[in-house]
Amino acid sequence: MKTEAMGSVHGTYDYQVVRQFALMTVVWGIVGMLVGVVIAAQLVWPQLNVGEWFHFGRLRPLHTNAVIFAFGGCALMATSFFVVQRTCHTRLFAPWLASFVFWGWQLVIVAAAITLPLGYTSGKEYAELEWPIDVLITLVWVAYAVVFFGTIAKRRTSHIYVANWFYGGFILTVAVLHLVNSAAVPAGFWKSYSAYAGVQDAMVQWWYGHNAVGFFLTAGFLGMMYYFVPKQAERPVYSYRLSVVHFWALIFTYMWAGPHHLHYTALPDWTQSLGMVFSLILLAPSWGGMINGIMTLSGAWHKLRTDPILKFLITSLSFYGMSTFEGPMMSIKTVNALSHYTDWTVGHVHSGALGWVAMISIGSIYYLIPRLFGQEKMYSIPAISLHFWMSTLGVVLYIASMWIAGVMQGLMWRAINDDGTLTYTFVESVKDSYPFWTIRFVGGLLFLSGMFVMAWNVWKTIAGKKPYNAPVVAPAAAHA
Amino acid sequence: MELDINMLRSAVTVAGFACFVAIVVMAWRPGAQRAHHEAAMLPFADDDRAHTETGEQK
Repeated sequence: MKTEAMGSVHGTYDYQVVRQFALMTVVWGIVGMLVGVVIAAQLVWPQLNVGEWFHFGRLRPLHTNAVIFAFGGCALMATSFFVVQRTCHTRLFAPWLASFVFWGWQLVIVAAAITLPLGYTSGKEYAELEWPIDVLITLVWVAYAVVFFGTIAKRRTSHIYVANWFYGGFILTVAVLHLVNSAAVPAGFWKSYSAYAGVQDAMVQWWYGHNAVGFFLTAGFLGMMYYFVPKQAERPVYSYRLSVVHFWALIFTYMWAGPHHLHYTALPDWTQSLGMVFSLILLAPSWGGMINGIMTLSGAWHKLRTDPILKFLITSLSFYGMSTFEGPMMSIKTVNALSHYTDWTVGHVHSGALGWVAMISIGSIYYLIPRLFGQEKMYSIPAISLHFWMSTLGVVLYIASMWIAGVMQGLMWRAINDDGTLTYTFVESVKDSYPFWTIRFVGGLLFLSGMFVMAWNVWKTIAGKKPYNAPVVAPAAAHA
Repeated sequence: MELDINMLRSAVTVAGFACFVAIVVMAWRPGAQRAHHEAAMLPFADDDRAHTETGEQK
């Protein structure tokens, strides 16, 4: 490893923005999950709904925005800026613009944290932010795309590694989704009306909503999988050609799955069926990708015993497989008739969000932090192990309790007496949900506590250490 | 056969499937394997562990 002596070093990689996003991933992870634990507690102890600002209805969108866009967004931006540089063997295109992406994105998050509790919302799930913030998001996102694709354009390798395909697909599609779904007519600075009406508005919203899951929460994190799983396992991805088919099949199929959010509504029946069929087809690319990730470990399974970072990465793929099996099943109209509007949906979401998205992000951040500060490894490996078990147990408690609560609610709501009247009042289903909401609160608290262990470990790893920027090495000098 | 919206829908479905088949054939054709192997090795084409200022591996 004397590539530097061969004169092939071209400055250092732009790690500054990667460092910033990586550290903020931990910070926003704690903030977003803390709000999640608070609203879980509000469901168990309703007296915790203090005033209008801290009411469940105001804090719930704050929780979803914080974990998806602040925690998940920072993780995606940190890893994508790292991966695109390392696999293209070149520095970032326009590093000053990358700096704008970081500070602009933080401003979006802070604006969300202020406006949502104040009640400024467009009322669209996962797109609640009002139009001035939407404009800022657009500017930041265009800058993000310019930096990312600019870096790919000036790459010094002939191939574009598959992780970058997934990151690129995520960036492009989220831009389109955001622009279309946020189209609105402003009525003052903090109020706007959607550009669409009635069921078209609902369909646009869920075309956005499900593709936010498919591209923000899936394609982007699959980009993470395709880089960090091979790196941590120290072997190339199981099948590169499968990854090519995985990419195209996934992005083509996800686009059509949105209508399953609108089963048994005013949406035309054929559109509902179309959404269901494409959701079922989605099982194939989803599991193809999961198998590709897990099988990367084939021949190196023993590493799982000793490497808690690998445990995070591989367990996240197991949860990905579980939730992408559950999702198509729940999109079947007859199953949806039972599951929709119940806590089963909430459990499904968290199986994906905590089990898949959070755990692959946590594993990737543990990989990144030492490398960004010139360290060999995290300060404490046992602490990563502890974090892994807290997270896993937390997710299992969360989703198991929500499954039971959800199926119970669905069955109670549909139960009718012989004379056609409802067997249960709604409030009876609420009363019977309390034990499960308590278990969910405990599971969420456990997951959040794990994030504090991570924050301590990160702090001990970087405190007093100088930021480190690795030298850019020409691909020709590579030793594979 | 009438050329109406349903005809167009069928055509798009068939075109989508043909596209998928083409991608699978492209990915599995023997000639692509070398390029795929090269691309798959990209994450290992450099070492991202920390180095000392003289370039030595820590």
